[in-house]
Amino acid sequence: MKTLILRTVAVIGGLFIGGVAGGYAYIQRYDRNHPLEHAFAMTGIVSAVSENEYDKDSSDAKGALLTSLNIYSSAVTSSRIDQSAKNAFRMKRGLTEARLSVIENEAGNVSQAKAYLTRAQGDLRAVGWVDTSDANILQVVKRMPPAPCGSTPQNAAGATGLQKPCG
Amino acid sequence: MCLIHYKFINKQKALGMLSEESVVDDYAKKQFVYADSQNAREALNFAVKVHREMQGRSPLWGWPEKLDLAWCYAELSVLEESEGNAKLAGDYMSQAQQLLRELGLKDSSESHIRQLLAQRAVSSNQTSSVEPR
Repeated sequence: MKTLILRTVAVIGGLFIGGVAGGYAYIQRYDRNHPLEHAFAMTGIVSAVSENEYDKDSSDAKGALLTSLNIYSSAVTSSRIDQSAKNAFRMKRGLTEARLSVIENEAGNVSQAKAYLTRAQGDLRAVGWVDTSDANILQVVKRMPPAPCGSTPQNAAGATGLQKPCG
Repeated sequence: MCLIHYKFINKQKALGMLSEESVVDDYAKKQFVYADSQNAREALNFAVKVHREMQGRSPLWGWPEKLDLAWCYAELSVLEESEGNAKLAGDYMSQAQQLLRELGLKDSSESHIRQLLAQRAVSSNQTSSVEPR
């Protein structure tokens, strides 16, 4: 009886482990075959979190921005993503580096801040930005208070009465 | 595998598509304000291409994405006009007008769209030293 129970448990356990491993491999294969969708799915989540943390001046902002930076850098150097999409990621990377520069500067790490800003300027120049001065880039990444839902719209979508939904 | 496809992959795919549109649109709109004409044109055309592709493929495609597409056309129109390509500018403006009409904009005249576009440019440049196009 004991042997029978042990065998049953072993079979069920084996099936469970096999199912989990198979599912994981299936998802990994899908991600490998669809690099753009995978990259954008990751970007969507990470970008929203890191920019929100930065705007809130949260202590988690630096970590979130560094995670974003890694994802954007992987996308920029990927051989399976086309040039136009790479440029979009390069601009995002440049702005993330500029945000990191602001954080380092606030922490008193002036040389690290300068290094991030120089990299940001290189990325933004590469995608065709005309004014890549320190002042202009830092103005672009200036912290914005999150607009509460239903507040007066500041853009044309709102002016048309076609304001995009919150969230 | 069907369960995995349904539970994870379809959702990741939908999120990826929505995020792709959002990132590419944000890129195009920023390029319109901050980049040179050639790079701005390429970015806006790329955003239009992605929006159009997603229109037929993305399960989450809706009116907010259609609104983004309309503004891409309006910005392309302004860009082409500033480059002296009046015919192309007119074609893009017609596309923008059509989409905004479909979205329920009461006054879809060219002058009104330009006025709204100028408001967008001012809004984008509130904190920037770059002059609107």
